Amino acid sequence: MEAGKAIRRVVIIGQGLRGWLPAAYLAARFPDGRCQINFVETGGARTDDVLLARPSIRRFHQLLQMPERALVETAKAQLSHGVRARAAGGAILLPFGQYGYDHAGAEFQQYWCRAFKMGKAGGLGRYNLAAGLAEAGAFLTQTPKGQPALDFGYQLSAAGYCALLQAYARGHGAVSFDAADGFEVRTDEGGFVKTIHLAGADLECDMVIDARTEADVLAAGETPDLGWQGNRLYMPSHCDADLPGLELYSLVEALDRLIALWPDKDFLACEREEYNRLTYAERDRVSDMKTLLEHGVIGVTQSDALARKISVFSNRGRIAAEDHEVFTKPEWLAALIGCGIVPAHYDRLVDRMSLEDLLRWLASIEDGIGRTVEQAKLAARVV
Amino acid sequence: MSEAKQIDNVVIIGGGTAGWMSAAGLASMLGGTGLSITLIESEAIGVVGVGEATLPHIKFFNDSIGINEAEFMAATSATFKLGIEFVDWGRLGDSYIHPFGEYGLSNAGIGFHHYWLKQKDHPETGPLDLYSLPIMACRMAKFQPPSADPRSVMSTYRYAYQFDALKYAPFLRKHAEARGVTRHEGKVVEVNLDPECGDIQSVLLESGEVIGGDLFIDCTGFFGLLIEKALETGYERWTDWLPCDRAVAVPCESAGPLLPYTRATADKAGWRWRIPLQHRTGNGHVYASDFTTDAAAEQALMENLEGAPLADPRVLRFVTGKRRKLWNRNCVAIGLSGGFLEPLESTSIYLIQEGITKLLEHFPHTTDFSDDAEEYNRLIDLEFERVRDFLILHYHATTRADSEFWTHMRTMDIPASLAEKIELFKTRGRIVKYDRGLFLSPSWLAVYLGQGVVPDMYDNRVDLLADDDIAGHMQGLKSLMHKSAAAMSDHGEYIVANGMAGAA
Ligand SMILES: Cc1cc2nc3c(=O)[nH]c(=O)nc-3n(C[C@H](O)[C@H](O)[C@H](O)COP(=O)(O)OP(=O)(O)OC[C@H]3O[C@@H](n4cnc5c(N)ncnc54)[C@H](O)[C@@H]3O)c2cc1C
Repeated sequence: MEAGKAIRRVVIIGQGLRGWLPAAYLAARFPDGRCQINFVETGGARTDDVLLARPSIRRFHQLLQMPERALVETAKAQLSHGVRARAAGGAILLPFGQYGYDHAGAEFQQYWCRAFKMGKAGGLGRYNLAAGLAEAGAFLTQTPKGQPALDFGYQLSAAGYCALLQAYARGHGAVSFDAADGFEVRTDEGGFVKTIHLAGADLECDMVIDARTEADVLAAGETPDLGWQGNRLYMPSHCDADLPGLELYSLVEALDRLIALWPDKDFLACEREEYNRLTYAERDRVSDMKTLLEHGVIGVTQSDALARKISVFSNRGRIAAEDHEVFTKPEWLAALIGCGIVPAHYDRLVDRMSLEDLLRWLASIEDGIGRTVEQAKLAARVV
Repeated sequence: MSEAKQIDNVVIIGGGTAGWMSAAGLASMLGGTGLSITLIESEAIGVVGVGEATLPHIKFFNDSIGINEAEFMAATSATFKLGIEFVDWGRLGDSYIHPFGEYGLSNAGIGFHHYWLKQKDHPETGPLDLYSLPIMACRMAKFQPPSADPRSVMSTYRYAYQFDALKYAPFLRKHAEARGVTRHEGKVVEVNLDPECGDIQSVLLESGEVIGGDLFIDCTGFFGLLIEKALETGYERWTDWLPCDRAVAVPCESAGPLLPYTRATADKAGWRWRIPLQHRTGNGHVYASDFTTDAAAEQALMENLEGAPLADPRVLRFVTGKRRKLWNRNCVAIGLSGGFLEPLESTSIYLIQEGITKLLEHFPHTTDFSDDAEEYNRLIDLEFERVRDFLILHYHATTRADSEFWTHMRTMDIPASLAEKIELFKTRGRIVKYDRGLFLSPSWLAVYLGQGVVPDMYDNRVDLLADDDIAGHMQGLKSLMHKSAAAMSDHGEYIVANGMAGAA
């Protein structure tokens, strides 16, 4: 490797959590200080106080070796077993865990659908432990034996979480600069950012991570971008009160993508293109979910992928997954069912089970989940 | 479409590997749901009878329909397969193995090959192959089933089979008939379409018997009797990228130890396969008739046999590509009737299996199934295309210039999606990820490095570890792989000792 080509100075532009998160992430990835992380902190403050972190955040916490205790004490972390999304027809819970069990080549909802259409089963949510826990305000960190697989994320205090990340980043060599009074981005003829000019300092940089929100970029009179151009990478700005959890998720995912394609000063086009391909795929999958929740199944222009999801589900109760999905199958199931779709058909494989066995099986799953939720509620009270 | 009616009768035409796999799969999974399954085959026409090398997925198919492994192996004279060896592909004299398993162990989220790339010029490092357990086992002619314990190095590979193509279908036939499949011997001479909606209504046998059905599965091989002759579905040709269009095949006596892998040796205008079975070796030469003659191709095949031929060489013709719709009206094409990709990566039987699995998943209740068909076709098309790109890579990533064929392949235009993948690997060893698609990172890695696509740089996060630490770790891995492979059973002995040897 030619040492002269390595990226040694990264400047992050942003505000609060949106800047400290990439700072902490990169500080953890470059522990020996061979890459200096400077954070140019712009003005403005967050208005939300609670943040949802989807289950994938736990990989990020592992990278930082973030103690659970710090999360609880400083970031007021509470476990979360699902996203409460606001939809056209009311709230829908997108659960972090499986519905029942797949069995003998058919997915669980296919079994459920057969019984439901005969009026012999309740809502699909009764067969989801994560949904049960979320509705009851109870928590479990591990899937109890013999229960449908369960995952969890966190509810976090935005300010507390930001403080944690800030302390981590600072502790690992990141330095912040106040730019409440403005800053200037200086580029070379090729459009590559060379320095960030501040009132008190000129920060030279090999790469810029622009973590401002889309609104902030617009307010500064610039054109927002989603991807990576030249040596400047814009952090995604998915943020939506109706569908919580996307902001943290997309920041961490963007950094995972960047690190997997970490450039040097040559900034190869193919690396950017691959990063952008994945970034646009993420944006499209997110926008499919938003469209579905906001507008339901009819009456609005849908992407091909969303139209397919709706038609395949309406017909067969199957989730037509794309490459690089953001939301898991159970979340899509919850959303599609929550929008009022009952599949026209269920898998024929399901008919191999006698109706009697099917109903008994469904009842036992519902029962097991009910009991587990009760126990978890009791345990919560004791603690 | 006229009024939708319940699907009660499935009729499969063709009794080759595709036909009997479909029959066995459907009967095992849907037999209990009141579905009647009929299979029509004609001894007079016969089967293709090549197609002996498989991918690890077939074990899942066999397991899920309740096949006993030892019985299956004995009945089909099968051997185990841990990978495919490619000889003379990147350049003359080269050899590498595409293993059914991982290389090394990844570390800190960075693929093992990046560590190897950094260290590759160090005298102690050696080729990447030394860090793959299945490759080491192949080179030593060893076999042992993998471990289910994810902490064990013995869990880093999977295996497939090499079997007698003429024996697998009859073996499945017994299985399928025991689960209620009705078999008719006879040649289909006419396909009757519904005059109103154009769907297939029935088929007429030479005997005069008419067999009707709700859903038809076309397993008539290259004939495509229903999907093409009757329904005129159309064919998408991929011959610009994959110009091989013929094969000549011959079995011969085996020589040397029983190898747990298939070999594909690049020739002047195509490539030759060698597939070791228990009682003989299968051989063939796939070639492009635009670049060589039948006689020259046969000569190259016969000159390279390791033992005496056991039959006369047989020529097969094909057109690489696939039907425009694998599921058209009430007909699903599975097997060679649906499309053909040359057997370089042993994908045909895998594609049959995918056809069956996806059909089971989308199996219609009534004749109103256009949505099912559309989704089925989208998923199967994706499978075909991703296999296609991977095959093209083998031909394109070469420095060979010793024949017109190789010069053509080396310099031709390739699909844009593949060109991007190659560039990303070439620059810094990145492998493009997809959620679906048959071949995963280790497969791409094997072919890239095996055929001389060596990245200009490695992932520079590797520099975070001290060189001595990496070197020490790699030495440890290398000797672990070597020791673990050496401790496995001899492949041939394992088959005999476990009651898997056939009578033949
Ligand atoms: C050169 C070559 C090498 C290959 N190597 C491999 C390999 O290594 N690995 C791999 O996985 N695959 C390989 N394949 C593919 C593999 O051989 C086929 O996928 C497999 O044999 C399935 O064939 P099939 O059942 O579709 O067709 P066939 O074997 O051709 O069977 C067709 C059936 O249809 C019946 N039939 C046809 N017309 C009529 C009619 N009018 N009436 C009644 N019945 C009819 C025939 O009797 C027969 O039973 C190879 C193929 C070729 C050509």
